Amino acid sequence: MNGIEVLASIFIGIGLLFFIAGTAGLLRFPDVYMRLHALTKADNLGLGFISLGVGLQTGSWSIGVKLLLIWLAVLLASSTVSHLIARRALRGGMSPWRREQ
Amino acid sequence: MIDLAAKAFDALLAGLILWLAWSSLSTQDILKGIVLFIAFGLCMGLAWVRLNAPDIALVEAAVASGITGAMLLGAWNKMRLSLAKMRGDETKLPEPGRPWLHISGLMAMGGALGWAIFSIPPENTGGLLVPAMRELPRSGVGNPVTAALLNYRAYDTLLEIGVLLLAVVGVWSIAKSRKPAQGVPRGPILYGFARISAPLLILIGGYFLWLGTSRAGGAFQAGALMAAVGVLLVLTYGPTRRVPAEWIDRWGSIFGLTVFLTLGIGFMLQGRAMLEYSAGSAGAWILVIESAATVSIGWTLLLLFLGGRPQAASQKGILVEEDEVEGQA
Repeated sequence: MNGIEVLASIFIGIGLLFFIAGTAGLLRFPDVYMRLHALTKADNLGLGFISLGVGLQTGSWSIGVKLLLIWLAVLLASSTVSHLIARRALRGGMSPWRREQ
Repeated sequence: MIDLAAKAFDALLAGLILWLAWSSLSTQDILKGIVLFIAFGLCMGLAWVRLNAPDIALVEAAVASGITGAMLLGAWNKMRLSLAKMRGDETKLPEPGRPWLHISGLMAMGGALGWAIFSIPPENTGGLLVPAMRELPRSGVGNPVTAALLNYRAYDTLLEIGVLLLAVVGVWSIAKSRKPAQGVPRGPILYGFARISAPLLILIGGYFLWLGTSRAGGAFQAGALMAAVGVLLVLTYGPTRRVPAEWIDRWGSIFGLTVFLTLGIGFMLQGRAMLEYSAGSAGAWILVIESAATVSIGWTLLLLFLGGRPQAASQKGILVEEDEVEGQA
């Protein structure tokens, strides 16, 4: 295993940690807004790290640029969709969760 | 080690697919069933990737999961509204009767299919791949899937495009597309997203179309992306705003079949069989047919998503029903 492969594995590992954290948030957080918060932030970062790792593994510029474009497209789509879900929930009268006093 | 991990992943994926299929069918909540079906399609796409069939994986993800998912959600939305009118907000399915009868029937069918697969003689596994790869240099394209779809068995693809057109004819003759329910006004972010991603999706669709001549891609994948652009625009701006006149819908959906048939008959007039390309020019004709088919597949899928014939035009073919769009930046 050379240096680049080790670096790639580290990046993919970090990405997986972000995905696990995002999934834990999705399963554990109490309302839709917090779940979206967990998912969008953690999964977008996780996908970025995994794309970086996979791009390093393939070692090809053209595949790397495609992975970057895919990541950017997912960023755009997931943030828009999360915004739409949150907006719909808020307009539909779902009030954000508060800790009971 | 790597091999074991790959086997474990495949087993997990296969189990997940079966579980998603079962949950999607058995849930009483229709919306949940639809969401599970979309997840099922994505996992099937992944399974096709694992089976080294990227062409089918792309179609599975784009058509079976994406476009079909959008259609199902649209149908659910309409159904929910009409059901709510009739008898409160109930979208539950009736309890299925005699589940053991169904399960034993399914098990018998699964057993028969398994027996059919295992009874294929092993020497057949090379199958049609051998002649397909042997004739590939003469087919005009570099991707054996595209060669099969548009050269070896172009007749099949012609009929498939005809079937899509028939589906639209059927939908148009039984339903009208309805005005969308008054909902939450769409915010500026959705407009911004549509403005950025619609041209990008068209570009990627063109890329898929071009890619189909040498690698995974082609008219169905590109057409599904074109339909996705249409769905995005309909969801953003509403189906009744600036919907093209009906003749554009008609010509858009028959364009691919028309080009396909015209070329096929033209080749016959030149003394060859139908869709038998002249030597050396197959690649160019395939690209022409695929481009026309992309337009029509995209248009047809969009019309299917709209779920009915667009309603009567009030002004020279332009629909001018008011839409509830607010908050446009």
